[in-house]
Amino acid sequence: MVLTLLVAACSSGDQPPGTAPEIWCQGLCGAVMRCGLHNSRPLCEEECVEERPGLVVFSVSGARALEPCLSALDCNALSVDSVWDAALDACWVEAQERVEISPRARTLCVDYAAEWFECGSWWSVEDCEQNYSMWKGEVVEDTFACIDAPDCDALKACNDAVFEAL
Amino acid sequence: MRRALAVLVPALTLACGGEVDPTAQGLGAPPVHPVPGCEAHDHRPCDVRTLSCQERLMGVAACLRGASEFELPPVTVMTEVEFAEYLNGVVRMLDPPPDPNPFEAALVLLRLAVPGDFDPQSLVENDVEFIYGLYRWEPNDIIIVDHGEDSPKEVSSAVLVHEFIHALADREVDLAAFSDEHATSIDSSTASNSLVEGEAQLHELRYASAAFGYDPASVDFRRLFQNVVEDAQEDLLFEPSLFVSAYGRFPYVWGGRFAHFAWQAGGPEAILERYASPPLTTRTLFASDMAAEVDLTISVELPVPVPPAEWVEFTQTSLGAWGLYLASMKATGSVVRAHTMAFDWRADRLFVYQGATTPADTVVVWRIAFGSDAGAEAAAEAFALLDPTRQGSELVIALSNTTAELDWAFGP
Repeated sequence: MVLTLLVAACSSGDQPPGTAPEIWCQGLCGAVMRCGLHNSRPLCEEECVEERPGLVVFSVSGARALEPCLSALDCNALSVDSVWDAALDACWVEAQERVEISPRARTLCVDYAAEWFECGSWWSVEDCEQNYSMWKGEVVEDTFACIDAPDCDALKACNDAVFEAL
Repeated sequence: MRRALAVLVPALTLACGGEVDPTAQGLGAPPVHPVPGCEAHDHRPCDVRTLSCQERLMGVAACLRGASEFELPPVTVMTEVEFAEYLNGVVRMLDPPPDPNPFEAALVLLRLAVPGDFDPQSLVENDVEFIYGLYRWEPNDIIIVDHGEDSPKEVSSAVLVHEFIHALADREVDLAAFSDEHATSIDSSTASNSLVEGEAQLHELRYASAAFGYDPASVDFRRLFQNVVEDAQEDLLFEPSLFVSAYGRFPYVWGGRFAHFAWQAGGPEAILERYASPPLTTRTLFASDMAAEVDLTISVELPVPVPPAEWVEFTQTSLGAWGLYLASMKATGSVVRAHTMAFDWRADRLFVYQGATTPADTVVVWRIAFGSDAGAEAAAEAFALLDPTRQGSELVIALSNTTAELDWAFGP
């Protein structure tokens, strides 16, 4: 009985398996197929992953949080650049609300958000945790070094450098 | 129920045969740190529209200020559109500003403003963008401005605490009388208001440090207030029009730092004591970079120009060290030079004259006393484009939007 439930859960799509790019592309291809823009879902997902090497910047849980929103994208968003950009931004905001908070993001943010506060920026620990849980582990680990920035200019430069390196 | 889900999720992940994702452990909300000294008060951000939230935050504000709670002032939350309508209503009730406006023309000549800065519509737009809350002495109520995405509940809650601090101060000090007594020039008004806004800013940030989830005990507030000052200095370098925005920001930024030093030295009572002898020059706020200083004892009598009959005095005031700082920054683009000059300020008087027959004609005479001849000389060099005249340790800048002879401005 327990095993049956577990298997059902695996196939239900609640926790899509795979790497972050694969999960992200599962979401996008859900919308692509619904809009009739591709005739093979497996091929769509394969092409999506190949064409978007940048997706490795996301964490698995970040991709999981994005997947339902991507899957529900309006067909317009798949063909009009400006609508696409706005839709992705909206998905990002929505995903942050539901992403599983990673222990390392929690450890980072208790100090990192306070650093920004001391530099005059209001950024809640919760928002920081949600943001960094979206990114792959290396981003979080690299950001730890920024906590020791000697001043606010250095903090900003360090933060920018982490994301410019992606 | 949430606890049960948290246990189940790792089991599902393992059963699926995928990677073990440590994020799937369900960490829950981040830890909550109360405001130090106010641990008995629930500080969590809330919907400021609700009475229960207002009552709770009044409790926090009273604790922060070391005061007892009192009857809640009415709180109204306005959208930006509603706030603009409210401000426009206030503008309609006031006498219209002079047109042309000699004071604006004088500041334009000094490169501290651009034409149109004092247009009521422009001022309303500026206020709508930057004001998040307002405590009105009369009728003793509070307006919170909802800026949409920029007003999450953490921000609105912190702003309400700020306004409650004003309400508590008003009960104790009578802010209207305080302003009447001390706001005798632009300089003294800005400086004394720096105590009022600085106190509220200090407690707002103490509250925000907990509301945003930091551990307030680990926040370096001294560093925070100094950073805010330095940020403001940098920002102002890029402001095309300085006067309105810079005088608007000063009480919060430099006042916040001042109030923090006072509070560090003696808690809320030390701030309350300052209401009896508040800073009356912005120079004191500048000088308070290591501790909350007191005003210098200055006895400089600046001569009053005697204009010919074609010029009528429109107003006179003092811009203070802050005005000198801004003018220097505009002239030199250097924060360091501006800061040095502001420190050397001892007194100033700004005289604005209007043409007796042609109201659009303006003369501005700005007399500034420095701590030394060398200070005045350095200022003369910085303001070379304004063609100043140095008289010992004093500097006189006289400008007009006409070709009128201005010899009289440098006397008597």
